[in-house]
Amino acid sequence: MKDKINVLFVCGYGLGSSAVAEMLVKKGLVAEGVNADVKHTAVGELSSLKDWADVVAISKKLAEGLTFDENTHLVEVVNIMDGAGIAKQIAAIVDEHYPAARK
Amino acid sequence: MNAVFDFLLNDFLTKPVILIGLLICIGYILKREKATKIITGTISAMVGIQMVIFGGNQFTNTFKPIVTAVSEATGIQGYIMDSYAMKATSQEALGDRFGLMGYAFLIAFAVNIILVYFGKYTKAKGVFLTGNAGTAHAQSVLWLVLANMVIGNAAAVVVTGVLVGIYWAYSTTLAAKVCDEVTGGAGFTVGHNQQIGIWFFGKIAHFFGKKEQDAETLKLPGWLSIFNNNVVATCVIMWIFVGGFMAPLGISGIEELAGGDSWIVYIIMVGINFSMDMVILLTGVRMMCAELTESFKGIQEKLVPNAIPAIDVAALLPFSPNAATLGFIFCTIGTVISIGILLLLKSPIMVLPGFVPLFFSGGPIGVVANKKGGVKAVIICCILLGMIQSFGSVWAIQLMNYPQGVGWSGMFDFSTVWPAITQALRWIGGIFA
Repeated sequence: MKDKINVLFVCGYGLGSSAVAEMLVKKGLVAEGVNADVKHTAVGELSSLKDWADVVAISKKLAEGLTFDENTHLVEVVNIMDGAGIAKQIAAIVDEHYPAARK
Repeated sequence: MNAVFDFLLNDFLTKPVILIGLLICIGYILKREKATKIITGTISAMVGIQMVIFGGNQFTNTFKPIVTAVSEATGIQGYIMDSYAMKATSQEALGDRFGLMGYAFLIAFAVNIILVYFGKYTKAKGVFLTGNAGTAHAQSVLWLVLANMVIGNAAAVVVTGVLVGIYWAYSTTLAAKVCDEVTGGAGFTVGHNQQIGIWFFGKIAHFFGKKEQDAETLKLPGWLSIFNNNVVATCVIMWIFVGGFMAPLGISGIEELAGGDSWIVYIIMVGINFSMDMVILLTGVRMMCAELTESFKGIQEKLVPNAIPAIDVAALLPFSPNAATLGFIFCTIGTVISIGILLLLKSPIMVLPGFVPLFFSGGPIGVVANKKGGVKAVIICCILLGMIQSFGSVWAIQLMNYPQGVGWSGMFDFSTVWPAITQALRWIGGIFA
C-alpha cells in the first residue's frame, strides 16, 4: 500500500503556471494531511514522467488528446490560484485509492 | 594579495554561472536553509544556468547557417520571433557580462516591491513573480541599456533594475482589472511578456463584436489539440516557417547547406533540432528558477500582503480554452499576413514566428477578446495582434544593436513598449555620450 503519492502539475511550458499551482497546492496538501511528492512539467515532456505520477493536475484543454493508463488519476485545474480547492480534490482521490497516504 | 583579487575579478567572477550561483547561494544562506540544501540547491541552479547558456547557443547554431545562406541568396536577413530567441541573442551579446543579469533581476524585484509598498501614492498593485520571464527581461534589457547608453556595468545594472521594476509594477497593475473579469475574481494578474497587450485589447475588444457570441459554444476540430503540445507544435511551426524561409535557396541550395544530406532530411532535422533546443532551454530554466517563485511569493506575502500576485500568462487559458485555441490560430494568420506584406515591401528584415508569441500572446488575448466581444472580437483582435507583434519586432530588431543575433522576443510588450523605451534610451544615451 502506497503511503505517499506522486502529484504532477502540467502546463503548456512547464515553467510558470504549473510551478505556481504546485507551490499553492503543496500547502493545501499539507493542510489536508496528504503525504505527497510534487513535480511540474510541460505537456510535451509529460511522457517522461507518466510512470512516476499517481495524480496528474492539468487543464481540460491540455488533457485533450492525451491518454493515461487506468492507474493515473486526473484532476482538472481551472483556477491555479485555488490551491486549497485543488488539494481537496486530490485528497478525495487519496481517500478512495491510497488511504495510507493520508494522516 | 593582489593575485587573489586579480583571480577573483578577472576569472572567478566573470563566469556567469559563478556570478549567479553565488547570488543563489547567498539567497539560501539568508533563508537559513540547511547546509545540504544550500549545496544541492546552488549546484542544481548552476547546472540550470549552464544549460540555459548551452541551449541558447544550440538555438543559434541551428538557425545561423540557414540565415547566412538565405541572406547570401536573397539579401534578406531572417530573425526568429520567440522569447527564447531573445534569450539566445542577449546571452550571446552580453558574453561574460551575462551574469550581471541576476543582480539587475534582484534590483527590479526590490523596485517592484517598493512601488507596491507605497501603493497609496504610486498606484502600483502588482508584484511580478514569474521567474522564467523575469530573468529574460533582466538580461535583454541589460543588453539594451549597455548597447544604447555609454555607462559602466554597475550603472547599467541599476538602470536595468529600475526600468524593469517599473515595468513589472505598472504593466501588471494595468492588466489586473481585465484579468479579474476573465477569471471571475481569481485574484491574480498576468506577469509575463504581453500584459500591456492584455490591457490594450481588453479596452478595445468590445468594439468588434458581441460577447454573447461566446467562443466556448463552438465545437473545434479535435486535431487542433496537437498544438497544445509544446514539443510537437514547436517542431511543426518551424517546419512551416523556417522551411518556407529556405524556399528561395532551392533544393540544391538546401542540400549544399545540408553538406550532402537530402533536403527533406535537412528540413525534418531543422524542426526536430529547434524543438530539442527548446526542451534543453526549458529544462535549464526550470532548474535555474526552481525555487524562485516560491521565495518571491514568500517575500511578497511578508512585505506587501495585499498586493496582487502577477503570474504566468498560461493561468488565463483554462478559463476559455476554445478562445485560446482560436487566438493562437488567428494570431498565426495575422503573422502570415505580415510576412506577406514584408515580402511585398521587399523588407531587408524578415521575421519568423516561434511557438511562444503565437501561443502565449495569441491564446490569452483570444481569451480576453472573447470575454469582451465574443468570437468576432477574437478573430479581429488576434489578427491585429499578430500584425502588431510582427511589425513591432522588425522595429525592435533594428534597435537591438546586435544584427548577428538570432532574433528577438516577438511578444506584445517587447514589440511595442520596449522598443519605444529603447528609442528613448538611445536619445538619452546620445545626450550624455
